[in-house]
Amino acid sequence: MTTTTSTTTTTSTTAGRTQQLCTFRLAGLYFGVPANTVQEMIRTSSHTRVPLVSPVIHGLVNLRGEIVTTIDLRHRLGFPPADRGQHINDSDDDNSGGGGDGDDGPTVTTNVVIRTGDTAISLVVDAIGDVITVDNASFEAVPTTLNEQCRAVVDGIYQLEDELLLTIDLDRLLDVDAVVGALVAAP
Amino acid sequence: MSFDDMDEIIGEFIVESYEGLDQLEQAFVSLEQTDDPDTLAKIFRTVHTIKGTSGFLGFSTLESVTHVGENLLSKLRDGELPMTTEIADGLLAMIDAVRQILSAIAESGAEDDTRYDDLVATLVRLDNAEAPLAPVHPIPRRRTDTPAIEDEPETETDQRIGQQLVEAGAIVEEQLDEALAAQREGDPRHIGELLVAHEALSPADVAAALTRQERGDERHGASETIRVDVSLLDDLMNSVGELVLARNQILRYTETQQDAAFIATSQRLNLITSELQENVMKTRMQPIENVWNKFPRVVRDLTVSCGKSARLDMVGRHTELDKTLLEAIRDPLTHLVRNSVDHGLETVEERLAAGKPAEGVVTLTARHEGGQVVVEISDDGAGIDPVVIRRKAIEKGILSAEEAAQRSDRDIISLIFRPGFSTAATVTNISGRGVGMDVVRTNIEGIGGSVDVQSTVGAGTTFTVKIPLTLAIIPALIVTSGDGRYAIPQVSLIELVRVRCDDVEQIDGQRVYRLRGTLLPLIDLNETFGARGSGDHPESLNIVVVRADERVFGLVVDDINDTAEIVVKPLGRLLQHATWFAGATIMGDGRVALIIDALGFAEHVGLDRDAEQRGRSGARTTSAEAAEIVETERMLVARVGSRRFAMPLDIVARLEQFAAGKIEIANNRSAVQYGSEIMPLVRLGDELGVSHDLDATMLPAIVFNAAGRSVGLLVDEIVDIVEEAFDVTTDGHLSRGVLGSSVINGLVTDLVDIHGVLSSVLPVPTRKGAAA
Repeated sequence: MTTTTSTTTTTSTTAGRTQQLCTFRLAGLYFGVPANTVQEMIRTSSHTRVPLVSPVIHGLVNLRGEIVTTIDLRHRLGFPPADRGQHINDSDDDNSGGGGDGDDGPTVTTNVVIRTGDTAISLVVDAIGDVITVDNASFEAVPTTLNEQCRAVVDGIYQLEDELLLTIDLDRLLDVDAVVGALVAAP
Repeated sequence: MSFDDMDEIIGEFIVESYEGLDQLEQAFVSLEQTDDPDTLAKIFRTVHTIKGTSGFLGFSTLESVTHVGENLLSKLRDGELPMTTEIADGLLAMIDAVRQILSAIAESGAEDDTRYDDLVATLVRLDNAEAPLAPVHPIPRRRTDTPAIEDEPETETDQRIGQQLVEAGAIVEEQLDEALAAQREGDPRHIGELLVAHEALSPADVAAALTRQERGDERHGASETIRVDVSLLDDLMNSVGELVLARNQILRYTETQQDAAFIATSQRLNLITSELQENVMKTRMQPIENVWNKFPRVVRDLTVSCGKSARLDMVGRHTELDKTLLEAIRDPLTHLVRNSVDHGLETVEERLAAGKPAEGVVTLTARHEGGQVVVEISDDGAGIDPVVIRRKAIEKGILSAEEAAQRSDRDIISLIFRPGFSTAATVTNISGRGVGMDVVRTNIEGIGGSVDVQSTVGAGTTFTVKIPLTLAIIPALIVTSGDGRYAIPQVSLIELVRVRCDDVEQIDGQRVYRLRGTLLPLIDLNETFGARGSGDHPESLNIVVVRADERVFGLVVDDINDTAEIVVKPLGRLLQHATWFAGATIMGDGRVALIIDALGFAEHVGLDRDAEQRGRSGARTTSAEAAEIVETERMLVARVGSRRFAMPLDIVARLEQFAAGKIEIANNRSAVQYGSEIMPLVRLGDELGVSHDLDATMLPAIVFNAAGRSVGLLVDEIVDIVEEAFDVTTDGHLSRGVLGSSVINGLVTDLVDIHGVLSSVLPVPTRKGAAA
């Protein structure tokens, strides 16, 4: 994936018309983040819970010696928690937010690891999609039908052939005040 | 010569000049008192080197300033001028100017426009001043019309530089002879300048030769040390941190393995890693004098401006600690020293009136103590009057009159660390603005240290600063709570106790435990962290007694796992607000564990000082009772592998050491010929499930007498004998052969159940009286 990323970054900047996005699914929606910000995708069950902080913080994970903060993206975007028993691999599975927690035991999560500056932050998603190239001509503003928390971080949508792709503004997503403030917002 | 080369040379010049000045900082201040020719010669050499190199590099302002300073110094050195305060002031001002110019060069690569004409004029005036008394040595001939050249020694130096250059192959002998001849014929230029003028060599070569020469003067010490970039050491330290983690992981895996070769290899890896870690840490260690060197000057300048008289004594200046920490304590220590002179010491008149010697003494002490560095700053001044502080505290509304009366003097005095609390009657330009002591405390606590104050009215004040040796790798206790494991840094640990649930009381809704007469507030970690406990109600509780500031509280945890060397990793920016955690670390199994910050935690759970105050007053009322329960006993501390064990000293008969080869296996047991008898040996580690060091050739043994015969207990090292109150709880052993734990010299130490451990070799119980 890294190779694809680097080659296409060049393309997108020189052409200015297309962009490469890493895609993933969350709560039945299709999301994308710029491919050049994504370090890797991992699946892990070894999250360490961080007590007394915002529930948006899913935990800490050891990524080859680096301690990476993971964000519960569903919580961050105001979606209900996922059904824990889900199968992560079928990327086309439409996981609309299911009900409460399953039983205990290690939960395997799928993570998109974002590199910002010299730190990495991991986003817990439902399933990973492909890396796709989108045409900037098909870019449109955020639809008003989205929930408020979601609209605050989605900067627009791409009209794909068969569905809509929402792109996330990572700066807004990872804004400290917004993440920490969610502690107050959450019940 | 390329521009980069030049940059490098300038960079090196700056580093070396700073180094030279730093080393001399103290010599400068002692100048006034001594006219030790060695010191003067040392200062002269440093200034001379800076002058020489700055000339070659074209820093004319620096050259002119150092030049006049050098002239003055050479006269002082030769005894032509006596040292006066004025001259000392002039020289100190010159050194300050040199530092300023150097910092300008370091920043921009060139001198700034600041002129030092006044300073130069002053120095020239001092230099030309007629010696008031007959000079000790006759004044040698001096060509005052050509100030750029020196007298005899300079020519000698030139010759030596010439030789150096020839040896280095930069020039050939003929070129040197030519240049020296030109000099003899009256050419006023330096040998290097002449050679450069004749295009025999580049200025860089000359600068290098000057450096070599200076190093050569230091008895060729240069080959013993190399200069290494600090960032490289930081990287190295990080790598070692990672290695320690990998090692921990392997050791954990080893526990489940049977393969002897693999176990031996991993033990070796363990030893090598520890050694490497220690050595890498040493590379970052610097003596505290690197910071202290500035203080004599600070004290001197302050005494002059306050009209006081003071001496600075320094003890333990070679005590080493991590460079980063050293930098971090520079400002707090400077503040404390300033404070001691400004607030602590009285004026000369006051001192004389109080029957004290006119000269006050500020003493700096540094020493290693239990894995920490302890720095004390004490003065023999007026001390802090608790009456004054009480009044201030009431005035400022910090305490009510009632509270103020209740608190002990010691508590009252520590109020000076509160923000906005200043006791100075007048605001001076040095201190007394009410900022400072709280910043000192914040800064020191920021690096995991602590600061404390003791004071006796009329006799003086002592500030005690405790700092860890290093930050990157710290010893910590690992505990389990609910689904998580947490690390508690050893520095905040006091002791571990295990108590019956029935012994826990409730006071004002706060769970407390009466620990040796002190009420210890208890905080349940599961409850606080919202973790689901095991569900069943155990009969006893594991309590980790923790100190945060002056607050002491007990953390109730599900399980106390082990102590471990952990590598502290910072939490990301999204978790910066979680002050109850000091960071995170990676455990042996690769999972992340959070490190509890005792101070942040106490603040978060809102452990109020009043509750703790009640605890203290409770302690006072029951102290008589406590004295009966607790008796301090002398304990022998020994090490096996990475763990420490203690046993009462009075049951120990002797300490011995046996060569590994002398130990025989008899009757399926280890034994050794001991005098006329065969003494059975017990390996303590085997009894307690701890691995002994491998490859030890001499084994220390603790010998006990029981039922008329001797039994030896093999350990890896006899560490210490300490006087310690052990809280021995007989219910719920922590593990086999261990009666309880305590923290001795900052390290968790288990109390060995000697009877249990030795029972396998002796059916007769070992009794306390048996040793007598």
